[in-house]
Amino acid sequence: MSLFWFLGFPILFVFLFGIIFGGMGDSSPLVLGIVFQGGVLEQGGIALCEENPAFRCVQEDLASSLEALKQGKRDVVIVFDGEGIRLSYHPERIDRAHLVAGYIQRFFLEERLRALGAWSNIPPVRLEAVEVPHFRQIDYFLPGVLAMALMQLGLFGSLDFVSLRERKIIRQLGATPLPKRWLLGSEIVVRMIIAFVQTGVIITAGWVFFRVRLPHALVPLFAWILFGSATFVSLGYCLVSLVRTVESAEGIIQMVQFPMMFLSGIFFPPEMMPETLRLVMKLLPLSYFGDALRKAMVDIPTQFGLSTDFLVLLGWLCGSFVLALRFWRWE
Amino acid sequence: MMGKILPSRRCEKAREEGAKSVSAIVVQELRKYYGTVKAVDGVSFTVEQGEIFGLLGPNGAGKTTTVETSIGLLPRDGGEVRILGHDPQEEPLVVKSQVGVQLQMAQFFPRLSVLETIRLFGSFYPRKRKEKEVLALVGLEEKAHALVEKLSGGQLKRLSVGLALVGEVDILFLDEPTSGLDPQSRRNLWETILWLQREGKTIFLTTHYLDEAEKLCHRVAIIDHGRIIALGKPKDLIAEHFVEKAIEIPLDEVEDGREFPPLQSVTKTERDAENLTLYTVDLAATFAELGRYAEEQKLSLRNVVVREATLEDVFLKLTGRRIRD
Repeated sequence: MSLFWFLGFPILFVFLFGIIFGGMGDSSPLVLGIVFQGGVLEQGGIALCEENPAFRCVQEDLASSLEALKQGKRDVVIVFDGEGIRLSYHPERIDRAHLVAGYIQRFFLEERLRALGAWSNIPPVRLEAVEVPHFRQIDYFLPGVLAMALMQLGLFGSLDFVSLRERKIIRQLGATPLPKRWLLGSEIVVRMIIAFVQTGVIITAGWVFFRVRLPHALVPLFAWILFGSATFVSLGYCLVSLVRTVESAEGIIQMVQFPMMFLSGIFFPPEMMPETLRLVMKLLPLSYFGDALRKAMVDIPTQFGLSTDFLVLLGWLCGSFVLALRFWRWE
Repeated sequence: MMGKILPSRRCEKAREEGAKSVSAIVVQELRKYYGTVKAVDGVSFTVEQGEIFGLLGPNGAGKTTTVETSIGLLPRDGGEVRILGHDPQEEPLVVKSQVGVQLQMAQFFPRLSVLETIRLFGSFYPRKRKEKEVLALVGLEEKAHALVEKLSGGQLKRLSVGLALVGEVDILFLDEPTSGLDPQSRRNLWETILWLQREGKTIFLTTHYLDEAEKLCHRVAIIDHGRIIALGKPKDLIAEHFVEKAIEIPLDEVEDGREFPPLQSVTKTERDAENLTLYTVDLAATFAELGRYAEEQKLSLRNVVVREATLEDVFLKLTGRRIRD
């Protein structure tokens, strides 16, 4: 069961995000519905489609074409009738309609100029794409999913301990000279090993199924993984030191992890958040961990700077460790 | 290393101090309250090194609370505790490295074997006893590789006593070490406790078995409702309260509606749920009187028992109750 939560669940997440966001950010040709209703422009229309590889044209009748448009299967429907050319478009895709309209006008202008023999005087316009690193949405999300999985591993991992504590098993340790900090330290080390495995699984799943970029430098990535998971394990123990039972421990952990999940810029980029929520985001350790992992995993530029990420997480790690020991319970 | 002393070094230091005839356990005016319930209400006693000291009392008298506050597992609400001169609240690790503890409600990691459990707990002590020796002392050699979750109640109890012995410590706290054991294991455990005492250990044990307290303990403290009501050597306690012998008559043999008459040679009569107990210095005179009474009333008196006064009688006299009621 716990194997599922530690290994299966993250893979499920990778799948979910891969399916939702995997395709986004890719460029695909515009799909045009072409409807001919007689008239002189038919020849030109066919030539228009053949000439431009950025268009994929589907010739059909008006009704089915409009239906496909409403379903989002066509970007623009072009109707050639006796009087001229009419473009139908989905209100959300007005930009594409303008693009196509501009292209059509240029195409027919060119035809006319050529017919007049004036074409050669017009200087050619060339399009050239600049080389930039190309991030797909999934590249952005995968480090976030990893950060979230490690956060959950850390926080929920402490529940095992609470259960042992509630069954009075930990109490037995309280009667021995075992120092609390060793016990807490060993728990953190065990969770870090699990975090290692979990990270391997998530990265492999992301690469195998969705060809997410592989991290270029493993050492800094794994250093961040260990550091971040230690922080959240420590935070988990700090939280469960404050409550008695497994039920209330689950409650307090949910209370902390739920806002963190949604307000740390993992599911929504910060630009989408209102000003106040962005302030909240700056208070959450997961924001900094996700930020650092995005940089370490897929080289996305950091938002806060790696040294800020490090200092904030270090603060949370030390603070929660001290508080966990301060409010420690043997039973 | 200047200034900062590691636990093991501090422990060695404490051991040296301990050798200078510090009392093993000093408890003064110890108090522990749970809300309005006074679980321990001003308990004081001193245990010397090498002694077997028993805390005797009925369930709920405050025995376990006394043990757990003394070793620093529970915070105390008042009073002083010194274990070999150290306060368990101020220096918990120093104290814990010098005491072996058997808790009454012991729970262990269910998926570890007996041997693994002993090895794990042994690793927490600066100096530990050999695992085989621990197994032998509590008679669990055959169960060494059994999982803890497969053990019977008695075996779990013996394992919990074993955990008190895994460290090379000076003082053992045993909280009801023999309750729930069959008579044979009980006797074996008594042997082990006496052997440990000969080895030089100080042993503090709680029990509600009177024979156990009388046989094992050099001194006992009787506790009831969180207070110590008597303290001393078992023989002295009995002698202090009784010069008499006790005659026990089952109630159903004498009291079918009739009032039992005062007998001249009887110094004291105690009545509890089952027995009428007559205390007398002159057995012969009492039997003569009893004989006459039985003849008059046509009583059989077949199940009368004569015995020496015991700690049970002391407890009965002081509280009006039997210890296991």
